[in-house]
Amino acid sequence: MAQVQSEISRRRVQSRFGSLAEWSDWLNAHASPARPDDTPVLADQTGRPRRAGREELMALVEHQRARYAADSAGARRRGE
Amino acid sequence: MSDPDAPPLDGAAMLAALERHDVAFVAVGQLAAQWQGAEHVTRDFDICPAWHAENLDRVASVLRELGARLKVPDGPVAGVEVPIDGAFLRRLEVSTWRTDAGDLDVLMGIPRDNEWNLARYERLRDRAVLVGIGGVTVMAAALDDIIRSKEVADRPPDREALPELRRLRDRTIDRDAGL
Repeated sequence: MAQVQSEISRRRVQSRFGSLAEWSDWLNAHASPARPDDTPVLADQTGRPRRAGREELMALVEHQRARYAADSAGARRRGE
Repeated sequence: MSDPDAPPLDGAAMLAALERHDVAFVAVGQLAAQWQGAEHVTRDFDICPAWHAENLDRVASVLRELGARLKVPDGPVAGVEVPIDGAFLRRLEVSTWRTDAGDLDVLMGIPRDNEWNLARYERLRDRAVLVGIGGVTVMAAALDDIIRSKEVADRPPDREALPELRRLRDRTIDRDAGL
């Protein structure tokens, strides 16, 4: 009931666009492209976070690739 | 500063994928503001999902379905391929993805004070606005939360966006008060 009540009291807005396609078309005609410095931020930082550097991110990517390869090899050995 | 290589945003495909995988999220950033009347928008979709394992696995499924590649500084324009799962998303407070449907950013939260404490999904959801768009209903962060995050971030594009957002918020307050 609490969930229903909160939904009832929540502010609602109806977009002026009649469809998602219309909205997308408007966006691509009017929007600025995303900032090129919008790149990932590593977790577990305090205070204002620092955008991760290329080397840090590639180390994370390589670790994930190795983990995924090991998991896949283990699954194949188990016949999954 | 804009990214000339950013692809067009297919909002329909993105929202459809999020709904199909039952992702719990609140839309944040300029698109959430645009749904509430802002004219100034950027062509990337920012979401703040519920930050627990099951939901992040769902976000990962969406990203895989959309062919997402991780944006890396000085990296390839198309992004870097990486096996995506919820565990990988947890290692990034903000992950920025180039997908077949446009740029999608996944955020653990948005800043809510000068100590950079984050407003996460639960806090944003409790204050969010329900937006009806093309037969879909999406939760968008309240203008107050978007404004506060931009005040804290205080980057040039944030400062540019703030006057319009404050006018929208004040107009909403006046309207709700019957003024």
